[in-house]
Amino acid sequence: MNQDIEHLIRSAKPIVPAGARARTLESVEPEGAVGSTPAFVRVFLRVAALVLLAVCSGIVAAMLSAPAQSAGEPVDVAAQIADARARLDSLEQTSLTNRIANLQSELSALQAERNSVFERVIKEAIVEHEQQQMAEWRERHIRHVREHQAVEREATIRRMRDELDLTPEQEKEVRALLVSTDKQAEALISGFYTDRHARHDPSMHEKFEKLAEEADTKLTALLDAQQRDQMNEPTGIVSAEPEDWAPSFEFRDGTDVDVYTNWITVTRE
Amino acid sequence: MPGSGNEDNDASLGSASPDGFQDLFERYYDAVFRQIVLLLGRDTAAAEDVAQETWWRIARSLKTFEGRSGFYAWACRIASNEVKRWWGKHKRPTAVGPEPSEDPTDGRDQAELVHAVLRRIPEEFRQPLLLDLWEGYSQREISEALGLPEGTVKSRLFRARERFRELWDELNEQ
Repeated sequence: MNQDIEHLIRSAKPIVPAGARARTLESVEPEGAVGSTPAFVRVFLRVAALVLLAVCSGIVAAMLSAPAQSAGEPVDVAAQIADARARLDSLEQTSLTNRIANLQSELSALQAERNSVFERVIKEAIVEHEQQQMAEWRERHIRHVREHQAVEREATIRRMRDELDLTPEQEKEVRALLVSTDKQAEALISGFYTDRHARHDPSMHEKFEKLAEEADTKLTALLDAQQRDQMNEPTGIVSAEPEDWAPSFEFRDGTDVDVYTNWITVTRE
Repeated sequence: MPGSGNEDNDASLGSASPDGFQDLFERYYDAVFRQIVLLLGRDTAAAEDVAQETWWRIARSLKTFEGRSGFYAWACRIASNEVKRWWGKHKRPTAVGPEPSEDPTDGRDQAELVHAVLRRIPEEFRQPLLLDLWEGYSQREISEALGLPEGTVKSRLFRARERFRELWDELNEQ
């Protein structure tokens, strides 16, 4: 059975055409051409090489003949070519090195510039955000203080009128004094947001204390002796405590909470 | 080459020198050519074209041949790729790949049917079988050509014959 199979397969053995091996060998041309190109390409390359050789021969002949005619001295063309090539290599090397160095320098500059621009943009964005926040906090704080002090001012004047029997002229001067003091307090608060950017400022105590003393002195000056005797000294007409100048406890939203918390925190002693 | 007494190791022949190439060419040209005929069909003119491309690529790539497999196995892979490339450029002839399921009495000759059955045998079994029966290689020569131990060659030859018989019987029963 095995012999039948083997015979069957052997009988189907393809015939290698006569000359196929030689033709293939010719196309591959192994003698010195291992790794070469197909025959038609090689024919083309051979023709191209011949043309190139002819052109080069002409050039070399011209180079050899020209100096001989002009100077009458033998010229070592090969040495000249070698020298020129060496200089060209050196030039290319130097040029390439310089270009790389320049490119690296430009790249570093661009990176530094990019980082700088990026940093500046971030800083500007932070500052802008902070300024907007401070403007909003300041506006809310002052609006509260203004509303609150307007009520407090009238209550103070009414009490003084009743207790000290203020003349209309004195009442007018007291109101002006209180209005002026409130404006100074507003200025202090405003400066706290614009100059200090709501950062910790224990000196706010001294500033309000000074404001209270000045108001007290001016008020005392407006009263006569009898009225001064009736008033305690200092009068305490203006609070010297920053806490009393805090924004409202009646918070409408988170911003009110932030403004209040911040003021209490950063004005602590 | 069978009967030539040349038993050089493939790896030593796998140099890129012209002598090494020529030696390999002389040893394996016919075997590779018949593989191409088998894979391509019975169009020997086309097979010769593919063989030229195959050997040109072998010549170009010989430096990269590391001898991890046998030269013949490596050359057959190149030949197989060239056959696929040829098919890519030409309309696949209907004569290629006659399926064993077809009627064996449909007029095609027996060799064509044998080729069709051989094509259905996996390459690792088919190659030693053909080196044995078509090229007349000894088991040692097959071992060198494929880079396989002789024991493996022996078992593959046995399984290849078995597989051929099964397929051939299948074909004749239809």
